[in-house]
Amino acid sequence: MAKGRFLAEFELYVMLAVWRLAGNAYGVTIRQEIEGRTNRPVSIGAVYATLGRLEEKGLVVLRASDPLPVPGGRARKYVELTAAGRKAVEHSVAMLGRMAEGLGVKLAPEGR
Amino acid sequence: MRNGPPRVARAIVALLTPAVERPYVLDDLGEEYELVARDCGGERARRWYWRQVLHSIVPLAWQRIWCVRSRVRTGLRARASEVMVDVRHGVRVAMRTPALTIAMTLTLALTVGVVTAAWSVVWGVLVRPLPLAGDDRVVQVVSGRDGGREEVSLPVLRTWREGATSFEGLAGYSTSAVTLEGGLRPERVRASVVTEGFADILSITPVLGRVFDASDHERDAPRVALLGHDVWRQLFHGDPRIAGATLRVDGDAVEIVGVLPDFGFPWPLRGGDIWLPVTAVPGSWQASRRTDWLTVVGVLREGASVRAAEAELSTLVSRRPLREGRPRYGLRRVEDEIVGDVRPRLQATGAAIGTVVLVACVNLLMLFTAWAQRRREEFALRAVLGGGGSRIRRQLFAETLLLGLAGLIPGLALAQEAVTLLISLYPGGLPRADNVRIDERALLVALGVTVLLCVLVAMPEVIRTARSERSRPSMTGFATPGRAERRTRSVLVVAQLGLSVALLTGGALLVNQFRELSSVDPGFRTTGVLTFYLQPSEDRYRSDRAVDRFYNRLIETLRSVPGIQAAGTVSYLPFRGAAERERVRAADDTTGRRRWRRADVRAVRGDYFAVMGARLLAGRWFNGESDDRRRVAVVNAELARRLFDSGNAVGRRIVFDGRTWDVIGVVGSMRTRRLNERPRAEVYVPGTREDEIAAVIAVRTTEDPVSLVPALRDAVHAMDSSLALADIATMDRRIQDSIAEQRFHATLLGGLSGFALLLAATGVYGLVAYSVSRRSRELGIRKALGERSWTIFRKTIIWALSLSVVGLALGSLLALAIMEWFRDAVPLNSAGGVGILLQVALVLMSVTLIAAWVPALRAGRVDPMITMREQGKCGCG
Repeated sequence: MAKGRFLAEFELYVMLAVWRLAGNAYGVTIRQEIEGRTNRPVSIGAVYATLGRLEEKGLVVLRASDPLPVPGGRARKYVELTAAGRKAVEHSVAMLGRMAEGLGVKLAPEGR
Repeated sequence: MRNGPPRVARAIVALLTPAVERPYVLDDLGEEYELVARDCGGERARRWYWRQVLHSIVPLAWQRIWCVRSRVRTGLRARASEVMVDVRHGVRVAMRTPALTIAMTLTLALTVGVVTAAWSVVWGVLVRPLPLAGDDRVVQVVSGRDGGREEVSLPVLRTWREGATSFEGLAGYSTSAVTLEGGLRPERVRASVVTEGFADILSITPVLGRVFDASDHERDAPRVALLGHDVWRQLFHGDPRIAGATLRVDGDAVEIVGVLPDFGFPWPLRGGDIWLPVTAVPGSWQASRRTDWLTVVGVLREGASVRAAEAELSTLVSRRPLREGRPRYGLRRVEDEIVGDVRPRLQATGAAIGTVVLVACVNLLMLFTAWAQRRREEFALRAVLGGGGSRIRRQLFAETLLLGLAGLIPGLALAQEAVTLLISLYPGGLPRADNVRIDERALLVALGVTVLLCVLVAMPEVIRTARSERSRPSMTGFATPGRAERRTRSVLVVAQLGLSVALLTGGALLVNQFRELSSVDPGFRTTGVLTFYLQPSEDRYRSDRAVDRFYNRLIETLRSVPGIQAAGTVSYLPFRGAAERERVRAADDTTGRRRWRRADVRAVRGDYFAVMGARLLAGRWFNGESDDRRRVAVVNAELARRLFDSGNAVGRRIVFDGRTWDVIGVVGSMRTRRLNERPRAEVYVPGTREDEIAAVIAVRTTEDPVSLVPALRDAVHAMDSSLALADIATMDRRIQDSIAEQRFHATLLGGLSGFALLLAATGVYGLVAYSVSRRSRELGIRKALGERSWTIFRKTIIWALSLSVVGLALGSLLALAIMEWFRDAVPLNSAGGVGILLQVALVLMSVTLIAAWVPALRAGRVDPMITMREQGKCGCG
């Protein structure tokens, strides 16, 4: 894997959230997903900044939806993982697993 | 209660978020705000919003920076790849037109090289600060009347040191020559005696040992000296043990306390080889108020005004400090003292070089235009197909720079050679020549000049491209050159020819002048004559008789050296400085008015006249020792003519130096100072002049004079081992040195003008060839209508020659102006100027004829059928 494809911690969280949200991943949902699961405050700015970097690296694609079919409905920017993005996530998680192997460290978080 | 998210917070997010994402970020925040407001109330929702915004500031700001960086990187990458494309294309184009490419590269290299060399010389000699602390404040006391040399007594210097407030310090020095023993053999070196604090005032730090301190200047102090850097290296091979060693200076034991640093120039002037401290004994001539013998230097205080300092010095010691409104004493920067004469000469040289550079630049411009002109169809095609004009312009610059950089390395090599040549040719040695070199600064200058030239040369074409693009981008719009362009080219060629004529005229005049000068008969034989200077010790030869005996024995000894035909001595050798001057008159002057004439007086011994090949016009030579004790004299024809109307001086008597002398012979007049000066009136006396112990020995050799130097040295040392042979040179060498300046200017200007003419000839060739190629259609039609080849050829040649005539006229005027401007630096004798101008005109016409011949022939041979076919193909016109 190319050097630039190593994911930072928050980038991994964003990509995992996008993966989980499968089709419904946009700013609000991604932020809420990460904040809910990590139990730490996440700002919308951090999410969008990360999405911008991930898009530059070719790991996600952003597409604007049509405006919502409600009065005053707005368009949303939905996020999807690219094939390279999925591979990057799998790789990062596998790396994590290999590093933690045999240490007795649980991958499942506490208090969730 | 307020509805909706807080406006200020919203504005902050809007400011920080990139425009593309702004609506989505704001909407997402708004959506969550609604949810929080619904679940927890408006107040909590607002607080939540503010928290979100504050936590988003840093990531969004970083995002902005990241975007900018990415854009810049992408842009740079794109630019870099474009530049590589341009470079590759440029190389291909250059290889398609090798002759033009080589011509442009060489011209660029020449221009860059010459400019860099000229800059290095000017920087090293004139601009680079002297390695003396406070250098622009280091001044020398000069005459307030004319800025000439001024010497003062020791008491005056003391008064100034005590009373002058404008100076940080003042000190004095006086120069002479001494014999230094302690090396391989005795050497005659230049010495300075310096007053207290001389080194401290100028912040001079020795490379070995120490400088003088106060105790060294005391009356009975042990004798000490400071050795100059060059002498230390040359005579003592840089031996660090020299500090503390004892040497003999004029026979006295002297301890060397230190070695001076390398100033890069002789300091003080004419006295930098060894420094001795002034130890003036009260009552001695050095301490007397009546003896002016010290040159004074000082360092002005920061902010001190030169005028005020001059007035102060004058007021302190002079009852009449002001004369004709000027102070008695003036101040001159030491730097001007060192490089003074050089400045106008370098300016003259710079002007000549600048003219050649101008001619080269014009050539470059025309070459580049020709090169770009061939590419116009390519550019036109690209423009019509939608290629941006800016892209084409960038490519033009890139290709020009490529040529420039190709010419940079040869240019630097040329600069190095030019600098070496200039230094070696410069008459009397270029001051501060050690400072002149091609270093990093010169490299930057070369690079800067290259870029500037490339931009200047490409600019007209770039502007032209922009104009064509704006008006009507079409194939014909680009391809057809206008009349204006041809006129511009003609003007440029005329300018080149004019500048070449100016250089040629100046060069021819100088060469002529130099040739005339070199062929002047000095009045004596110069080949096979070797001379050297001796200064025997006064302690060893205390009387005139002892001196006489010494020299007579020396002459006998030298005569017996194999290879020596004749030997003699003279007190003042021709072309070696000024002789003693006395007022002379005829003893039996019966006119009633005593006619005194000034004459040079020389004391001679042995075969001096035979050595110099002087012509005896009447009477006889000196008889050796028997004449030494009599008051007899030989005069030259010039003095005989001035004193005696008949010109017959033998048997007459003359008066000078308070005594009467019998004239026993008349010798043919010799030129003794400069070849272009009339012979001066001279008197020769035998033996030793009173109190004169030094002399110049002259020998005539049957072999190469220089090869006999070791034998002569041995012969002298066999008689007195403390003697040092100084200033050894052949008479040929001395004569050559006296006209070195004229040779320098003639060589330089002659060479430069020849080169400029070559460049101008290239310009003429290019112009005529270009004109013929552009007018091929017209010529084809004319031929088709019956005009003969010979007529076309003749008209083309006449047109080219008419340009030369204009160039000649302008160039002649320019030559006159330049000669007037640089009259001080390069005195020119404009006699025979008309002849020179005619010669230059002939050369110019011939060169123009040769340059225009081939293109004119081509014009005459244009085939109308081929021309029409070619024109039809491109659809032009």
